[in-house]
Amino acid sequence: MDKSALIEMIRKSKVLDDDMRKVLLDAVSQFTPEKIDKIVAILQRAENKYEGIMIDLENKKRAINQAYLEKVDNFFRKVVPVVVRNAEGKDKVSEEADIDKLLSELDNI
Amino acid sequence: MIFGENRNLFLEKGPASSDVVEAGRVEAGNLPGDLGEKVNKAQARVDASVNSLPIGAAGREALAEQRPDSPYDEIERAEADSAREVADLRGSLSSDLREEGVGVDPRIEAEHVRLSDEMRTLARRNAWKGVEAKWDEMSGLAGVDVTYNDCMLAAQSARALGYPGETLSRLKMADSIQPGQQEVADWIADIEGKYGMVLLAADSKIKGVIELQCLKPPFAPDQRLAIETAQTAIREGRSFRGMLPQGEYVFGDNAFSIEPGGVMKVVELLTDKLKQVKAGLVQAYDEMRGLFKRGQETGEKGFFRGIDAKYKESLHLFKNLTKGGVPFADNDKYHAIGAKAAKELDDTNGYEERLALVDNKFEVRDLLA
Repeated sequence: MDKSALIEMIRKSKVLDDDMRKVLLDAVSQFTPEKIDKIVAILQRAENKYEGIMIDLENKKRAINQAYLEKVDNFFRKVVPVVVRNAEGKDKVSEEADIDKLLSELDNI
Repeated sequence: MIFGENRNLFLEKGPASSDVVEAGRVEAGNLPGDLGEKVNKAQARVDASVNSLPIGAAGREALAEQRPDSPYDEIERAEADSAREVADLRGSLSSDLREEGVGVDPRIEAEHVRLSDEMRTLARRNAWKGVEAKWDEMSGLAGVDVTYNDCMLAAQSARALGYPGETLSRLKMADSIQPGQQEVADWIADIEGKYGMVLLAADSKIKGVIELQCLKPPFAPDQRLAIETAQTAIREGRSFRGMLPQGEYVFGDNAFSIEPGGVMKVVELLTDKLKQVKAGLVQAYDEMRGLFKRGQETGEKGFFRGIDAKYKESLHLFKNLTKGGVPFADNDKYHAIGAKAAKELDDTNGYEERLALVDNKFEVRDLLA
């Protein structure tokens, strides 16, 4: 790899922070071809590790979100209907009690 | 009233309740947009169901208790873990770049320039101990690339003080910085043609005075000085590691000869206990070398994990040996291979700790590369 390709690599690098990028760009002009090869190897290795970390993070986030959606799905399939049914049941009991009371009042008229 | 307010509401909103359930169910499973949007919408739908369904206070409480926890806390923890990993990676990258001479702190470089100037001044006055002290300081500066002239001054200093092994090492360093210098090549050839590497050590448990004798002392002053330096080291610390001129010697009761070049001659006076310790350490080191070779050939992490385990297992043997006053002949390679394994396994602390135990990093630079 030549110096211009290394400069391009440094500019596009995701693993380098701004300070490290500046230090490297300032130093590139003095690199020998052997040094360029070494720096490229070091950067490439770090870049690959960085990509690995980012892929792991995306996978973790996807798994967390997916698990949440499944819980929400389960919530609407199983939890909400039960709560609604319970509420309906209580309402019916209450309605029947009201009717009994009304009939009893009517009987007493 | 026959029908309570809730009932009226429920009768009026009945179909809407099942809509809410159905819509929530469908949306959770198949929300439009990317996963993040789906999660946002699902969360909003859960909020809506808890707050708007006509299920009374008890029902609302039951739903609130059973609603799924927000995923955002868990996502934040995952992001924080990744941020830490990236910070470690950048630290390790920074350290790798410094080893290649990139990113040296300007203050450290200024200190390097100052020490170089002082070495030159002291050398002009033949104050070689002073030169040696400045070279030691310079070698301790992190990330500094020593120059050809630094190495040549340090080589002269080592020769003047009777350290031919150090002289050779510094000349080789100068040669690697500025290859093809005849002066350096001649000097290296001269040392390699007259001296041989040796490790002499006596277990601290062995009683009596242990001395080194040269049976036919050479005439050349620098060779005589090299022998005197070794004798002083043995008197003071019972061990010497370096180079001696070609010749016949006696160490304690052991006679041995030094031939130029070749492998290191090891003459040790050990108790049985320390012999066992050393045998265990040598075996572990041999296994580490085998794993290292295979790790380098294949690049498989498993070999470096094996080295790491062997290094950790054998470190107490190394400590026992050196505590007994006996240096390990393969000290630098042993720690360098251990350091390289730590580096391959992203164990930055382990790498630094093991590297600190390497006496001559230049000699093991290929292992560490």
